[in-house]
Amino acid sequence: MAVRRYARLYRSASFSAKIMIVAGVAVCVTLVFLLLFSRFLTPYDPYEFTPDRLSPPSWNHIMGTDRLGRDTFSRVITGTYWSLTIAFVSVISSLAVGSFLGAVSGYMGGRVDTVLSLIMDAIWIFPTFVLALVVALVMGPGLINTAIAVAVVALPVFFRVIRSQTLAIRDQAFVEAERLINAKPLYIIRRHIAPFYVSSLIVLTSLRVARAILTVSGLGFLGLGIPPPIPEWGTELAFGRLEIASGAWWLSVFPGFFIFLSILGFNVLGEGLEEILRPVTVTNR
Amino acid sequence: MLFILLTVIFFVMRILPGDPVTIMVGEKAPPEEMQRIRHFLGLDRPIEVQFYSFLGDMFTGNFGESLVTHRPVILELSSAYPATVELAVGATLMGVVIGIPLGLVTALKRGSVVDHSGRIFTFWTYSMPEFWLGTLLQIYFAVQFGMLPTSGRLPATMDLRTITGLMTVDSLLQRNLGAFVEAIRYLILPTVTLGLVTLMPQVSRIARASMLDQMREDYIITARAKGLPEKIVLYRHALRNALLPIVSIIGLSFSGLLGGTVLVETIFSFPGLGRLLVSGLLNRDFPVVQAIVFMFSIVVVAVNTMTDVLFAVLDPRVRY
Repeated sequence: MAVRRYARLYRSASFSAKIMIVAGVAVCVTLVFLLLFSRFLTPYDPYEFTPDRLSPPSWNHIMGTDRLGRDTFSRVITGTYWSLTIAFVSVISSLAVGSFLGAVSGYMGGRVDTVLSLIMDAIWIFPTFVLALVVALVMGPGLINTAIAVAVVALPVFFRVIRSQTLAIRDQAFVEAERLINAKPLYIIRRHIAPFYVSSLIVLTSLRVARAILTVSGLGFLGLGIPPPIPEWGTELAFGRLEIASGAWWLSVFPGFFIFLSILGFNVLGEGLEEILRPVTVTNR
Repeated sequence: MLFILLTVIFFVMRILPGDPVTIMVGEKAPPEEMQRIRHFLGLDRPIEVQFYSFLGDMFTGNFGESLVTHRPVILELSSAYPATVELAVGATLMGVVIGIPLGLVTALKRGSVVDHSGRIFTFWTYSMPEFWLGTLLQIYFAVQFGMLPTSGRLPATMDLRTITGLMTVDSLLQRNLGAFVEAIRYLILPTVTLGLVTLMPQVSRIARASMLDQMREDYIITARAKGLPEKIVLYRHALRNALLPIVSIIGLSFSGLLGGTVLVETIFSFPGLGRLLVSGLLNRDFPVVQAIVFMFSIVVVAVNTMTDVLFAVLDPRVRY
């Protein structure tokens, strides 16, 4: 059912939207493939020191090696696993928590709504990246902790979108009817209001994954993300930058390129989907 | 709003792991000594008392003393903020000066090659992490040695008396043209990086979209039907109305821009608030972190208020 509906929407899309979706899906599928099979795709052990230090890209090491002789290609591929897992975990958790709170807040109204909105506004007024930095410091380094830091700053985005959609729907006649036959609020939200969220959530999730990758690697870049020797892209880039003076450009160019490409992929996918799904409101920042 | 902000900052700083006193005097300090310092800093008082005195301090600009340099935080801030102001103003100008024309051109030539390449360019910069773009620029300009400086604010040999702290303004006030040129040269790379990534894409996208919206309106048809020259129709009629969303996106993106300064300043060793924040975070220098986060948030709130006011100026229908 749903698949056919999306197929129809895709066929009726403009040419540029089609290109964006196809390109976005291609990048994202490749990245997820790398994430799942990174272990089998690396030609070398990403953590193994070899005497082959700081060698430029060649047929043996297509992205060169670092100061400790570790193969950059293997490290970047392994980095896919870390960077993307954190991004996905964080977006999924802020999606779940943010939309749940948004739906409850919008549906219940009253004091619950006031308090929740106030909390979300408080998170919202901090510059996002600065907030992520502080939360990351509070939580300490690590996969889950970094994911939480990135998730917290994205909470208000999901909260606001879902809340405003719930507000728009909750007084419609069909919701009123459910209330009259004494249906439970959570049942009404799940059964009758939630389907309206789908379009905007798909678009928003894609755009937020892009943003999350950016934040995760930014934290890693400043040394507040995943600690070395784990080859998270941002951390790798930060260490690679130290080698610019010795002429080893490949150590910062390749990890950065993967960050850029994955952000681009999810952004393009999100924009393309936005064009065909046309959700009511999507605020992204 | 400010009150909530302060409350959040206060409690977040208190739940940070790591005891500031231990960091100050080291692990091996005798307990009596630590107790004395704790008392001196007021950290042994009940948490409510600490909270109220914190609120009072924040409003009077008393941010305490840095745990690392032992200078008052307000001094640290005042020596760092002009750098950030220069950077942020430059980046905003950059975003507006490139973003708006790009948006207009792509809107007017809709569907053409110009439109497509403009949109691809916008996507490209929108997805570019500022720390990667900055690194690439550094690699390039490190090779092209001497073309543009890649770190700092002024050459080490050049000494400039501080008046406002804004290098460009100071050098002009002292009629030191050489220093002015240098200050601008040092600003170019950080500004380009920040402006191109955090503001330009948003501005040009919104400019394109809102210009397209305006061109569909009836008053455009009327203006054209009256025989007004196309230039006047575009710039006097359409652009004026299209400016509103552009102003509001600049306000909204400002928070991202401040976040970007943290990364850009770190890359280009630009001694501003962002770099101070990072070193404060890494050293657990709570008073400094607290003060900077507070300042950043105030600036975001202030900029958003300013955009609202500007809205009322630009659009006579908006009244508060």
